[in-house]
Amino acid sequence: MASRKELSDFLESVERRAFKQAVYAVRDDDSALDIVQDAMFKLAEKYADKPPAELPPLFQRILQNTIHDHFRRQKVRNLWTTLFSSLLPGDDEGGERDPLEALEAQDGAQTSESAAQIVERDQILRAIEDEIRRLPTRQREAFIMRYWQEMDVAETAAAMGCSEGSVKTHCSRATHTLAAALKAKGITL
Amino acid sequence: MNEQLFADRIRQALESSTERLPYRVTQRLERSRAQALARIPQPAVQPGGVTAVAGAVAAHGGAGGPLDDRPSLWIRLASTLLPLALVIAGLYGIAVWQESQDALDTADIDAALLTDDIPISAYADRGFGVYLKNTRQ
Repeated sequence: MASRKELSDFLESVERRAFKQAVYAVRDDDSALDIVQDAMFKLAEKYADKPPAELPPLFQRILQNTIHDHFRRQKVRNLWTTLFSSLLPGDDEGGERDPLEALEAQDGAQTSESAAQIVERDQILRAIEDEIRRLPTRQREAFIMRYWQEMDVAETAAAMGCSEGSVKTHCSRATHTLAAALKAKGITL
Repeated sequence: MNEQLFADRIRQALESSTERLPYRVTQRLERSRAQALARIPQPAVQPGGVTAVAGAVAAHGGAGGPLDDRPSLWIRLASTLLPLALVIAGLYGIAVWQESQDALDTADIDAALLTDDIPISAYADRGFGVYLKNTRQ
């Protein structure tokens, strides 16, 4: 059984990756934060008694299910929004965005880099993230779990609810698609 | 480049992106983690060293248990039906009030006609109607 400290350490180690993973899927920071929070709550409420080794695949499974639930709810919400959209005022997001939010704190290591290097690295990262977002859902899930969350094939298959062979196929296709897309943009890793 | 090496490079890039998340996001994640940890169910232990099943029973039993933060069935039912009953009572009250107002208005008109110097039959006379119209102008 995972102690409170072990569960806390586990959540701390995965929360940022889980957030990015949710952002790639739903493409909205606030929704992604809600999804990660829901997944954390479910893990703590229902699976806190599981051994620490079982937590990563369990959390991944919960996260995937929460993302799928989000899409289901969004589908229903969109139906009502479409029906009543003519009655609501226009949503002007541009007016509410604070440009200062886009600024990120620069730590000491970053300031030692030249501005050109920082810009170039950001551009590469943005291109990688864009291409990951464009991957088909199952390929993206498999690729992230397998190579970013460093889960093995069996764990990934269990979390995705598919066979190990499917996981390998999804990962291979995702890798080739990403490599081809980045090469087309002139990015070599 | 082989698949594993390429995936490693991607992983490094993605890892670096998580290190530069906005403060708002990292704070929210930290809060979510703290709230999640507060939700870990606490097994109740009796003095005799026997783990009590009261918590589990209450959780499965639903209504009002220490692990069940949802309101009981009666409260949920009341919260649905009470506003509905209030709306119906309100509509009925408005209808009754409207009816009594109409009766009062009619009574006022009747009283005014009966206490007037001109007899009621005069209003049915066409010539009197024309006279009233002309004198008003």
